Amino acid sequence: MIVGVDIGYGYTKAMGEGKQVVFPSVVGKSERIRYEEDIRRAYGTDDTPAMAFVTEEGDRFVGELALLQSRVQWTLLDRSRVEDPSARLLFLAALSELMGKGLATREFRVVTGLPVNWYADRDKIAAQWTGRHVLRRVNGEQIVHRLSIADVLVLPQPFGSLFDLLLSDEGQIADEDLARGRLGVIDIGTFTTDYVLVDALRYIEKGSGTIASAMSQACALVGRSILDTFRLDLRMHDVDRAIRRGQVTIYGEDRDIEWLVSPVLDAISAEILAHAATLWGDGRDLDAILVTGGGALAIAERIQHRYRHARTLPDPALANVRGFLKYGCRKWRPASQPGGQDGA
Amino acid sequence: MERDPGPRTSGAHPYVPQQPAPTRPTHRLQVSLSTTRPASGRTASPRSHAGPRRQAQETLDPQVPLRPQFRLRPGYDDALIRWLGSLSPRQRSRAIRTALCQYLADQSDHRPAEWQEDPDLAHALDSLF
Repeated sequence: MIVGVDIGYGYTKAMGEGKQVVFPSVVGKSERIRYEEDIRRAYGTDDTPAMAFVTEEGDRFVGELALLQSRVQWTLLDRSRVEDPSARLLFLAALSELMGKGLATREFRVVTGLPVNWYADRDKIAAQWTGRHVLRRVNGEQIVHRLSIADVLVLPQPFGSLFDLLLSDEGQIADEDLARGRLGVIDIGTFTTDYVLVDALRYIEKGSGTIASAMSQACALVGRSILDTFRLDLRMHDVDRAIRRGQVTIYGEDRDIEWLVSPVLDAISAEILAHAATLWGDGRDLDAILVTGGGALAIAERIQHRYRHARTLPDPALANVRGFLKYGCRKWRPASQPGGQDGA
Repeated sequence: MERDPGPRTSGAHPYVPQQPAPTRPTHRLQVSLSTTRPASGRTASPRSHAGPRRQAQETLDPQVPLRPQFRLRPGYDDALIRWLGSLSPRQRSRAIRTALCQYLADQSDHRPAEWQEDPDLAHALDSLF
């Protein structure tokens, strides 16, 4: 099974064989009081069991279940996550979700991404993920998933969005005009904003980079404002949802927060645009600037004020993982198909 | 619409006719637009029943292969800019829409069965990672 996996700071996304999985990148300590049967009843279904796992580090909840139930929960925000067991658990949990309930054993070929400035860590990711893994899920009864990871290919994250736009589902170049162009990609994630410059599909190092200014910063600032204004202490994921809704609910009443959010997004946009100007100047020699990532919907309009040829990718939060999957299909599709490089 | 003949070369833009820009637009696209005009003399409605595919075929001009996803740059796309500037707003809007429809059709359904990727692009893509 060829899959694309994107372990973002905010959400983990995976796609393969027509299935798609998205859950918050949160791991939590399991709660034993209402374990097993109640968890299955509350959060799982027969087809999609709740994400509760037995691991070497202890019992863990993942995703929504961790957010809702775990008293102790964490999200890794720094570069150390590359080698952290929690990141590995998020990865295996995503693959396990794609497997579903029916299969106990499956072989995978994986394309994933890293922030541009951390790309040197790609070998660590590949070494940690490649090989055989056993994952024990708890869903009333234990379900054992045996996963064999045959290949791991790591790309700089923004290339996922680029490939999503350039390639067909089978991985063939669908837009040659765009592929020949000089293109900038701004990938606004949760913790990092990545920039990539390509010219006729050649990577330009001097026009690429990463800054640690993205939606998590906006969430922190808006979260503090919400606390000061409404005395409501929200976690980052809850603030993220509030920003998307444009409202918070206080004593059952919806209260508008646009007036708190807008100045923060203006400030974040200014920082993102300042780095874009450092890399690309006023961008007049670029054929297009592609804005992608989970923060694209909130920030893209402000980027278009500066770069009028900037455009937002469709469904930008999932563009990277879609592109990873497409590139995986190109790389590993059977040699009998046109353009295939090797057999799957 | 003819396919792009190859990578961009200095001096000549592959999407602009090589001859000097005509002082008076003689493009078939404009002629075709006039043929779609109703007998009353009013400009055809943008919501014509012909459908985008048929309109695209009717108004295809192989000499002006637009790239609708790219912006036009002064000094580089001057012939195209002059020609678009000579159109009325409605004609200009329709010309751009027609080119977009044609482009999309060309990219997907109209691609011949024996179509193959540009080998240079395919090589560049495969050697990236």
